[in-house]
Amino acid sequence: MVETSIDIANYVELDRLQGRYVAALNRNDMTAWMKLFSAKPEASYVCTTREHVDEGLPLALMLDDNRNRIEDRVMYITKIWTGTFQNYRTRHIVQRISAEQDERGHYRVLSNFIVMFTNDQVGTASVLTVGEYVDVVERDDAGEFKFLSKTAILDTSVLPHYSVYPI
Amino acid sequence: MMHGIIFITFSSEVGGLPEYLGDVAPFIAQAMGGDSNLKLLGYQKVRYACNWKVYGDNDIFHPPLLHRALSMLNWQSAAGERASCPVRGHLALKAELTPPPNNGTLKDMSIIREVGNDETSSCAVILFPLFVITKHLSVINLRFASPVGPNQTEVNYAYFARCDDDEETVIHRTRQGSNLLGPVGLISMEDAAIFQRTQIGAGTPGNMVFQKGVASLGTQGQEPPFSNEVHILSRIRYYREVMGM
Repeated sequence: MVETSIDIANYVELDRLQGRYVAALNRNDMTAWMKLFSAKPEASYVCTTREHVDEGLPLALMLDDNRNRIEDRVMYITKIWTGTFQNYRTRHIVQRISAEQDERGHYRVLSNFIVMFTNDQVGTASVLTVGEYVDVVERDDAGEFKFLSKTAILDTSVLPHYSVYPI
Repeated sequence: MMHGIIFITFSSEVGGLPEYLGDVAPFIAQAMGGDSNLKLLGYQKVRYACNWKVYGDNDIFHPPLLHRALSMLNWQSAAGERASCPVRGHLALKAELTPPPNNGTLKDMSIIREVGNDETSSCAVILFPLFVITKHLSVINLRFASPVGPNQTEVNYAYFARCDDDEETVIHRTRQGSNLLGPVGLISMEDAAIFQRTQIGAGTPGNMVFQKGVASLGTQGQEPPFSNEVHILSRIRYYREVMGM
């Protein structure tokens, strides 16, 4: 990959996109979450573990490898699972590590994350997971940055709680 | 070793595998994809805030009651068969699980499509106390569970493809395994949620005196076998025997 440095304005825009992503998940707003992904059919969201990446295992915790699956995930959460699970809220703490532009003009962004979660009924907070985002960001036809792909790689190989929402 | 699964015991008194497994043995081969020639696709690992007995107390009539996706998709399984090994508390089930036509609920129907040359669409073997083998649609899944404490159970879901699968089938099993039946799966996330709710409910006063379809201890009522809790009795009875209760 040919990498080129990017200017400060694009850093700001990339951080703003990540901020909107964090805000959507912290509010459990799945519609807002979905809108941050590219409208292209190949848009993807994958949540896997470091264990799988290191061992070359293809299975994931969430494998939405096309736009339809991303939209189906929102439907699971808002129309199918609602009322069954005990709700919880998260705080995603994200730290950008690097951002580079490839020869196609896409931005490849690496970030660390820590996700704390608080069960609405229990009231105490715990670490849900920690890990790394590997993002590919494109500028859409309207000129806005969107995730063409977002891969959350969890250092945590065992989740301490079932997961409803994406990471 | 049976159908690719290695059984280990520290007991010098236990009998042979056929005796240990009883009538559930033939179901293991079907749940393991036929010839059991499998390769690992990966794991999903999670801890549930429940006692191990809550995780294992799985009544087989719950799917249409709990899993809203089944009604939204108009997806029902046909009658099947079951077997049990009362002297060890094991259970096995088999059913036809034909995916429904697309009614517009899902945009990507591949999550409930079946591909490959598997002989059985739906089969589950539950070996006392906590080992589960499942084969649903194209998902071949072993579930290893262990108690972490009185109120916490860890479950490691291991997923497999067949060694003779073509690339497209391996991808399909991976995509379906990731999103259908694990702790974040379209169907099974609700099971995960209910484990924790049941644990909370177990602390309420009172005794459970009713079991659906059970006329008397160990006797099935008049209901069809897939709509009652009779199979759980052999499991509970064996637990009580082991625990000296």
